[in-house]
Amino acid sequence: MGELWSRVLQNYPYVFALALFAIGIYTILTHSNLFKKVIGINIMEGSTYILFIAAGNVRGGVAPILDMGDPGLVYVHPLPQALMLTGIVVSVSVTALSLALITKLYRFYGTVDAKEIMKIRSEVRANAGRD
Amino acid sequence: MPGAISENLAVLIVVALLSTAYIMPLLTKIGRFRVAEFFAVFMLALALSGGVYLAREILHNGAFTYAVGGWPAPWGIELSLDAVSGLFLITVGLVATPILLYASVDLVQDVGSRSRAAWFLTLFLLLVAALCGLGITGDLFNIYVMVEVATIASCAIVAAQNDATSVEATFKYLMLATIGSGFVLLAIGFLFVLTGNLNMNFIAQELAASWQNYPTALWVSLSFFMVGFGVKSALFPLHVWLPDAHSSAIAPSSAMLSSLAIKGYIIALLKVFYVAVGAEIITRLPITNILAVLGMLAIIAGALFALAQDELKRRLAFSTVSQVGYIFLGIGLGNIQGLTGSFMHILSHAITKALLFLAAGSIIKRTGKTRISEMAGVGFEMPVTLGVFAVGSLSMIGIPLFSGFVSKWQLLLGSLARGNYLSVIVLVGGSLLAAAYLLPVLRTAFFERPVQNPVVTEMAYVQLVAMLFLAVVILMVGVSPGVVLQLAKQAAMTLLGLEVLP
Repeated sequence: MGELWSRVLQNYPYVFALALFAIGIYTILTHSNLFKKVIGINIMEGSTYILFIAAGNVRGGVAPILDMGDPGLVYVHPLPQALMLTGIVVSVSVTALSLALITKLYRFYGTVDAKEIMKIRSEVRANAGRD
Repeated sequence: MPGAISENLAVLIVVALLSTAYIMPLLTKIGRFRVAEFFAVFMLALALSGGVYLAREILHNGAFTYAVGGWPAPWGIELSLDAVSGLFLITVGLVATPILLYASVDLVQDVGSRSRAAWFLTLFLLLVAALCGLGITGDLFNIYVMVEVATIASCAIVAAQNDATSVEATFKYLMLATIGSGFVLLAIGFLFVLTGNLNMNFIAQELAASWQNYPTALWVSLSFFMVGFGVKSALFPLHVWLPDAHSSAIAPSSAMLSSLAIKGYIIALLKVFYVAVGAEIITRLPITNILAVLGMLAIIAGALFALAQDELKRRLAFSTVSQVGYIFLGIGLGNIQGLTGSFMHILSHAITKALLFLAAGSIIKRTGKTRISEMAGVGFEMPVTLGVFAVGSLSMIGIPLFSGFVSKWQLLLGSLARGNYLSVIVLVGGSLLAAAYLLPVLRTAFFERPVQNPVVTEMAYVQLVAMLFLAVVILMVGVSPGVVLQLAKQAAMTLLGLEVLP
C-alpha cells in the first residue's frame, strides 16, 4: 500500500489530469444548462493537455531551444507541447460550434436548459400526434 | 499516370479534397452553384478513381508506406497504405459520389439558400477528406485530428436543415462525440507515455518488447479507445445520440453519416487495436471478447428497437445500430474469416444503408409521409424508388446474390471456426429480425391499395441514377465478390500479421 501511495504522489499530474477528466464528463452529463455542458467540455479537454504536457516534462528541463554553448542542458520533450497546440485548436473549434448551436437553440426554444427543451419537444410531439 | 502524381497519390487524395472544399462558396459566389456542385462531384469521382488505383497497386505489389513531406517515420507523419486503406478508400468513394450526386438536385431547397448549400458542399468534402485520411494514416495523433475533423463536419451536416429538431439532435451528438474524442485523446496520451511514440508501427515494436511490464496501463488505454470510438461509432449501449441525429437530418446527410461517418471510426479502432497494439497482444486480452459480446447485444437490441419504430428514418437509424453490431462481432471474433466479414460488412452496409436512406428520403420528400403505416401503395406511385429500396432491404437481410450475404456468410464462417455457436444463433436471429423490420415497409408499399389515386411522381432522373448505381453495386458485389472479397481477406490478413502474398 505504501509503495502505491508514493508512486501516486510521484505521478501527481496524471492523477490530477484523470480527476479533472472525470469532473469534466460529470459536468457534461449531469448539468442541464447547455453553457455548463460546454464548460464541462473545456475542463475535460484541459485535463488531456495536463496529461500530455506532464508526459513531456523533464524535471529541471528547459525550453527545447538548442543552446550550443551549454552541452549539459536538459530539454523538455517538445512534441507533446506541439500536439497540445493542435488539441487547443480543436477544442476551440468544438467550443465555437457548440456555442453557435446554443444560440440557434435559444432562438428556436427560448431557453438554454436541456430539460426545458425536452419538455417543449415532447409537447410539440404530443400536439402533432393529436392533429 | 504521371510519376509525380502516382507516387504522391495517397496524400494527394486528402489534400485535393481538403483544398477544394474551401473554394465551394467562392465558386458559388463568382460563378453558378451548379458549377460548384459539378466540381464537388467531380472531385469525389477523382478520389474514387485514385482509391481504386491505390487498391490495385496494393493488391499487386503489396502494402507500402508514404512519408509526408519527405520526413521519415519517427520524425514525420507516415501514411501506411495497406489493404485496409485500399478497401476503405474504395468504400468512401463508391458511396460518397452517388450521395452527393443525389443531394445536388434539391440541395438549395433542402438547406434554405444557395450560400448555405455551398457551405454544405464544403462540409461534405471535408468529411470525405477526413474519412480518407482515417483510412490511410499510420500515426495516432493524425487519427485524432482526422477524427475531430470528421466529427465537426458530420455534426454540421446534421444541422444543415436548420430546424429545431435537427439542431437539438446535433447538440446532443456534439456533446457525446466530444466525450468520445476526449477518451480517444486520453488513450493516445497513455500509449504515448508508455511507448514514447505516435507512429503505429513503432508503438507495435515497443509494446511487443515490453507490454508485460505494464499490462494494466495498456488495458486502461485500450478500454478508453473502445469507449471513445464506441461512442462515435454507436456501439450498442453508447448509441443514444444516433437515432435522433440520423433521422432528423436531410436525406443525403443521413445517408452519409449512417453509411460512412461511423465506419471511419471503426477503421480507426481496428488500426489502433491490430496495427498499433498488434494482433499478438490484443487476442490475448479479454477486450476482443467484450467487443464480441457488445456486438451481439447490439445486433439483437438494435433490431428490436428498430421493430418498435413506425417512423421510417428512425427505423433505418436503429437498423444501423444493429448492423454496426455485426462489424464489432467480426472484430471480436478476431480470426481471419471474422475480420474479412467485418471488412465486407463495412463495405456492404455502407452501400446498402446509403441506398436505403436515399430511397426513404425520396419517399418522404415526395409524399410528405414519414410513418410506415401511412405509406400504403407508395410502391405504385414511385416504382423505381421502392424497387431499389427492395434491393437494399434484401441485401440488409442477407439474401444470397446481394452484397449483405457475402459479409454475413464470412461472419458465420468466422463464428463456426471459433466454435462460437451463440454468435451463429445471433447472426441468424439478426437477419430474421432485419427481415421483420424491413419487409413490412415493402408490404405496405406494394401490397396495400393507396387511399387516394396516385398523385406523386418519381424523383428527378439524376437522383434515380444515383440510387440505381448503388443498387447495381450491391448486386455486383453480391453476385461476384471476387476482387473486393480478396481485398477484404488481404486486409484481415494484414491486421492479423499474416504473410500476404502479392
